[in-house]
Amino acid sequence: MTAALIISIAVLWVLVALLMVALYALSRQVGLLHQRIAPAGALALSGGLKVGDVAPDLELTTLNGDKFGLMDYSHVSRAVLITFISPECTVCEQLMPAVKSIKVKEEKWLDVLLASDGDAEKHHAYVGQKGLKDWTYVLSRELGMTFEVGKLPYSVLLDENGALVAKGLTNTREHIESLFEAKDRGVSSIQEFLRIRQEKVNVGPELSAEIAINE
Amino acid sequence: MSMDPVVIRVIQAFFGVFFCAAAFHKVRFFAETVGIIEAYADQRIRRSLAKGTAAAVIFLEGVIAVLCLFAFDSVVLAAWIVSLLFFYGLVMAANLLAGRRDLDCGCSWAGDATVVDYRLIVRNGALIFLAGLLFLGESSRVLIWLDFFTVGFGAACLSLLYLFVEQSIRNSQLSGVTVR
Repeated sequence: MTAALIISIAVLWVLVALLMVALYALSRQVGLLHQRIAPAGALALSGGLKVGDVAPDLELTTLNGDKFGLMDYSHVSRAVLITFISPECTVCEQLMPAVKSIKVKEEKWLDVLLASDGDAEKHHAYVGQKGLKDWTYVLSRELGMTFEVGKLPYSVLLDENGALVAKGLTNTREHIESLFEAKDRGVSSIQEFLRIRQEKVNVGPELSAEIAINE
Repeated sequence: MSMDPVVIRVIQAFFGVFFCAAAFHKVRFFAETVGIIEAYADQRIRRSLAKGTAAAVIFLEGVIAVLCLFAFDSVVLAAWIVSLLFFYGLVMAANLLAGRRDLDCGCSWAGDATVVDYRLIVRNGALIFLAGLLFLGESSRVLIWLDFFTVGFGAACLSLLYLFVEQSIRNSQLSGVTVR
């Protein structure tokens, strides 16, 4: 009887210890996964306006023929997300539900402007197909050139004063939200945020304070 | 009310491992530990004082670890452990209240940095509660060989549980970037 009790206690302890090891190993793996799938922010391409530059007050024309200035659009303490798309771009098509959802979700502080260029007829058809009649949809080659848009879909976030906050290729909702995250955290991109954080972890608080001062 | 001696020994052995690992980590990364102390003091102390404080903390943790592992009087030990953990929690809370939220807590065993967080203060509270059990003292039951088996495995399981909690806090800090 005593021997059976001792053996059962021993077996139970070994099992509990193994379970604890497994639990810890699992949590380490979750941590590694978090590090490996760190947020993929929008890929900011070089060229065009730099972060902090105020966008020029371009005169823009909507598909309906209404004219307005870019600075007039980004007023009354609201930020503006300009998303460059094209009817021929399949990724843009996949992105549109996310853009629509973001427009509703962030409506308290953000206006969304769709921009493109090219044949107006195609865009009219596209707007009809996608239910974008209530949206501000502008055709402006000049706007694309100002931000040096080379690939689509591309998004630019202007702050309440019309200054560029963040920009980049936005293939997914996560990419667009990375622009908002960059705005909230006061960095130009999530990549920059991750780089700063990694440096803080690697070099310790003393050097990270120097990095913060230099920035 | 007193505790069974095996429970007291398990808690003591756990804190022995805990402070041993903490002191070893601070010795191994001494320069970083000095930097962390300076950061906790908001760079207001001289480097020599930060070095002295780091050395004192390591010495204190080492002494507590040795006393825990060699079954020193549990009530006196409890007072030391509770005081030290309370002090750590107080320093973290003061920094968090001052808005310094990107400090390395300096409390990791495994090298990965954990940023100061209110959850770490709750964790310290749980550790203080555990150490507080030592104040109850132990009953007079004589330990048999099987109890030492329990002490070894119990301390190992508590240590792994501590590592799991710390890793979970670190994981949630890592995932915080994506949450909007």
